[in-house]
Order: sequence, then structure tokens, then C-alpha cells
Amino acid sequence: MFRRSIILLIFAISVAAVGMFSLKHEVQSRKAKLDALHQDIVENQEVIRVLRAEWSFINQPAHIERLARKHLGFVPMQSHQIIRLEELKGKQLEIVKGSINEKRVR
Amino acid sequence: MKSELGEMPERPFIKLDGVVNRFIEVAKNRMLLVCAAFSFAFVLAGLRLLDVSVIGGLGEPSVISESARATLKTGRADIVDRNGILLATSLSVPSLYADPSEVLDAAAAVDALKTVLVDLNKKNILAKLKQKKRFVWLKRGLTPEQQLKINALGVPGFHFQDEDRRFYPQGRLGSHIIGFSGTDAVGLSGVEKQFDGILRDGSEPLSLSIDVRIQHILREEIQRQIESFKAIGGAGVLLDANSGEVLGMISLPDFDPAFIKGASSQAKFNRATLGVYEMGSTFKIFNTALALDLGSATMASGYDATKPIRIARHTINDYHPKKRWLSVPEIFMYSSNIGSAKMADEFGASAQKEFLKKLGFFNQLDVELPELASPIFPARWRRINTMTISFGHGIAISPLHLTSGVATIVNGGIRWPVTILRRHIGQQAVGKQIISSKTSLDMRRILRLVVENGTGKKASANGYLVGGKTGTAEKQAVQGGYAKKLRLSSFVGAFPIHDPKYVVLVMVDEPKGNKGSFGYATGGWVAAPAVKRIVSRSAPLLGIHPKDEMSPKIRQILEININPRGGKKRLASF
Repeated sequence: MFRRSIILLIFAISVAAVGMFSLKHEVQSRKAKLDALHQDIVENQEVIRVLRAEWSFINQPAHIERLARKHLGFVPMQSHQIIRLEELKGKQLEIVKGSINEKRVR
Repeated sequence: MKSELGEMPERPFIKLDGVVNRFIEVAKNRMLLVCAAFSFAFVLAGLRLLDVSVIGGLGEPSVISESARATLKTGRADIVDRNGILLATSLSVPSLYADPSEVLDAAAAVDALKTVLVDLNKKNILAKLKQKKRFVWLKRGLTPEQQLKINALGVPGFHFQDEDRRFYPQGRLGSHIIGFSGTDAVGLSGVEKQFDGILRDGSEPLSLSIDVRIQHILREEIQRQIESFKAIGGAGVLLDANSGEVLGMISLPDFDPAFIKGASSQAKFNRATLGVYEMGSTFKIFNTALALDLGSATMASGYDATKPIRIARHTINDYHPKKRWLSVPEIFMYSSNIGSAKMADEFGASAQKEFLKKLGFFNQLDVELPELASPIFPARWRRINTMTISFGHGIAISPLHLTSGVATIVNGGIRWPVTILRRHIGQQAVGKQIISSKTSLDMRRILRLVVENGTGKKASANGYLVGGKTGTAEKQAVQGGYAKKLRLSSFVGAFPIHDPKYVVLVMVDEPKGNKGSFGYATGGWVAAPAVKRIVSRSAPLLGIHPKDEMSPKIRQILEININPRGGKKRLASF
């Protein structure tokens, strides 16, 4: 009786000890992972900042304008090219190569 | 199990003498006490174990969340435009330093470094490396590529340190507003200086009211006029007429904050806020508005502009003399100095002073920039001053003052504080009624008249209903008096004038007439065409829909009777 309970107790203690150490180990490894992730996030944030600065730099209006003129043949929009949807009601439209031209305009 | 104490009576034959017996008794008692104490402690520990594992689990979260720790700390907050486009940001860049005591062969180290940093000053670096210090900066702000190459050189004693550095991705656009900061992240001008504390502490970006697209349009169009009229500089402002937000403000020549050391003081000078100028005829806007608001003149009244005014050894003359009676709208349209002076003479100096004060023309603007000028106005306000100020001579204000004043005149008469910070929804500022909405409507009509029939025809951007006033001021010569050849040509206007949303100012400093302008360098020839292009290009971005300028609805709003009793009077003046 006495001996069995002692064995049981020792067994329980060793199970608890093993459990605790493995838990502690798990926590430690997760913490290391978390720290690595934090480090990663900060590094990524830094990279995003650089990219954002670069994005703003290449989006300088003068630069975009130059590219648009060179590669797309775009020019500043004229006021007669703008029309409201309501103004189109009941007007005859023709579609030329994907763009909508109102007859009156031409 | 039988207790040992219970067996005691079965061994009565073991007799110990009294002293030993007493010691055993004491030891037993002590042991009992220690046992009790330990049991108690273990019970407590057990209860606590139960508490934390079974019962007390409620108090602690089962999942630990971590987030706040992982934010990047930079030395300075970003600055963005009204649409969130990055205007200024801090990035960490490597800087090269050396520990001279570790450098074995200074000359060889410099030679090696020269292969990467081509424009290095050899002597200077060599001197640095011979110093008896443990730390000398060699080059601050390297590119990642340079860092890699220097690292590959493998020179002992060279080290890198990451430093925060300020970048201005939009370059010259808005450089006068944003300003710049020094190597150690201290704001030295513009918003960088004004909000230095906030930018240092905060991580939230600071939102300005400017729009880089508008900045670009203003800059490009004014630069074009400066080049074709060989002017020395210029300024431009685009202001929200109903909130006081500055959407665009440029001063030319400007500078690139990345190369601030090479920038001249001329380039760093913000003409729009720090420069004060005698604005000339654009001031007639305020003169006419005051006369109409006081009721000393109406749209139907008129003044005799037949002869120049001679007063106190001065002669007030007209640039394009009509030599006849002129109605109030005509005085404005033909920009008659004589008519304006007579109008001002009627309401007098005190009314004029009070009005200009209410418009804020005697004080620095309260806009959030460190570079602000104080206007210059006469200390003794005589009759001649009242007369010349009526057409914009004898008082000098900044272009931003003028723009803000015109916004007040056209927006229904309310003066909004000018700001370069973005106003968020529900953050409406408090405006002050300066003139009546009736006067404001009359002013809109005559401003439109100038563009339709007067000196500002070249500002007419079809569909956007520009209304405004030209100004051509002679600059004061250094030796005193006015220099006929040195002019300040400007145009200030609002669009769409039937319901003004934005006020735009273009000012060109010392333009010279060219072939295309038949030698003219007036506001109508120099500034008005730039305004036309600025309005045509920016209105679609600002969400302003083009209108049919001839539609009956708009004609009715802007209807004006130019010459109410002109027929008779005109005959009389011949």
C-alpha cells in the first residue's frame, strides 16, 4: 500500500517534471520565433518605407507627364471633352474605337 | 496504521530518568510544531496551485497577444500631401566612420576608398585618419550599393552606422512649404521647422493641404512665363475660396531640398509668403468692394476720368486713358487709376484703413509657416496715400495676403484663416463676415467683366468661368521713385466665378515684353495666359465640371449693366 503510493507519487512527479520542462522549452522556442517575427516585421516596415519613398519619387507629376506624353501620346484634357452622364440622355452617340463621341462635338 | 504514540503505553518498562524524558518530550513537541508548519505551508501551496490552475484561470487570458512591440521607430514623422502622397520621410541609411587607431595604413585605406567614392577629398580624409581620435565620420548617407562595395574592400577600422536621413521624394515641388531639415534631423525651414516638435514626437504623418498635382501645374505654367518673358522670378497660389486651405503655392526660382547646400538665397526665398510687393491694379478689387459695401458708390454711379488728378506734386494718370466719365464697372474694367482714386477719396482714409485691417493686410498672416512677412504701409495716412492705395501703390503685401483677400471678396464676404494643413471633415474653421453677400455678388460680376471684355481676356479658360483682375505694378527703383521698366505683372482670379470655389494668383517678377506679346509685359499678357492654362488643367482634378458659359442661367447670375447713364455723360465729356 505504502510502497505503491510512493511509486505512484514518483511517477506523477516525473510526469509533471517532464511536462513542465517540455512546456518551458516550447515557450522558449515560441518566444524566439516571436522575436524573429518582430524583427522581420520591423525589417519589412523599413523596406515598405523605402518603397513608399521610391513610389512617391517615381510618381512625381513631371515624370508621369513626360512618360504619358512619350509612350501614350496623352495631352491635357480640354473642357469640351468632359461631359456628364445626364447630359448624354436622349442624344445620338456613336462609338469609335472604344471611345464615345457625341456627334455635336465633332 | 497504529500510531507510535498509541504504542507508548505498551512499553511501560522502559524507564528513562526524568531529564532524558523531558528532552524527548520537548523534541516531540518541536517536531509536531515543524510538521504542522510544513503541512500548513504545503496546504497553502496546494490551494494556490488549485487557484491558478483550475479556478484562477479566468483572470488571465488563455492567448497572449503581442502587437505593440513591433512598430518601427523613426526619428521623424512623415509629411504627406492632401491625397497622402509622401512629401518627406525618414529612412535609415548607412554612414561610414572610421576608428583611426585601427587603421593600419591610412594612405592605402584612402586610395581604396577613392575607388568607391570617386568624388572624395583625399587630403581631407587622410587628415581625419591621422587624428588621435577613436571616431571620425568619413561619409554620411551612403547608398546600399556603396556600402556593399566599401564592405568588400575589407579595410580594417572602417565601420558603418545606420542613421536616419530625411528624404523629399517630390524634389522641388512644394520645397518652400515643406522646407528642409539638417543632418541631425532638426527642421530648419518651412513646415519642418514650424512643426519640428510634433514631427519628432509623432509617428502619424502630418497632412498638408497642398496637392502635388496642383503644385506641378502652377510650377510648370509659371516657369514657362518666366522663361518666355525673361523674368527674374514668380509666384503662384491656388486657394480654396471657402475653407482657406492652400492647395498649391509655389515660388520661383525654387530649390531641391536634397541639394540644399547648392541653393542660392534667392531660390530659398519664399516669394509667396515672405516677399511683400506693391500689387498694383489688383488692389482695385478691394477699393471697389469697399465703395460698394459702404454704399458710397453703386454699380450705377460714375466718376469723371477726363483729366489726371494733381495732388501734392504727384499726378495720377491712367494707363489707357478714356478721357471721359466712367461708371464703376468701367473703372474696374479699364483699370482706371483716376476713377479709383476719386472713389477712395469719397469714402476717405479711415474707412479704407479699417477695411484693409479687417482683411488682415496690416498684420502677418497666421498661416503655419515660419517664413512670413509683415506688410509695409504708410505710418502717416494722408490723402495722397488713400488715393494711391486705391490702385495698389503705397502698400506692400505678400501674394498670399492678396489671394486670401480676394477669396474673402468673392466667396460671399467671409474671411477664412489661411492654412497649409489639411482640414478634416467637421474641422471647419471660424470665418468672419467682412462684406455683405450682395457686394460679393456685384464684385463677382465685375470680375467676370474684366475677363469677358477687359484687360483679362487671356485668362478665359473656356467652360470654367474665370473672373479676375490684372495688375501691372511698377517696381520701386533702388534709388527711389518708380522704375518704368521694372514691373510686377499679376493676375488674381476666381473660378467658377458664378459660385467661386478656388482663387488663383499668378505673379511674374520683372517680365520683359517679347515678340509674341508685341512688347507688352503687362498682367494681361504675362499672367493671364498662365491662369487660363492653370485653370484648364487643374479644374478637372479639383472636380469642377465645365459649364456652358452662355447658358441663360449663368448669364442671369452674371448680368451687369456697364454703362447705366453713359450715353448722356459720354456726350458731355467730349
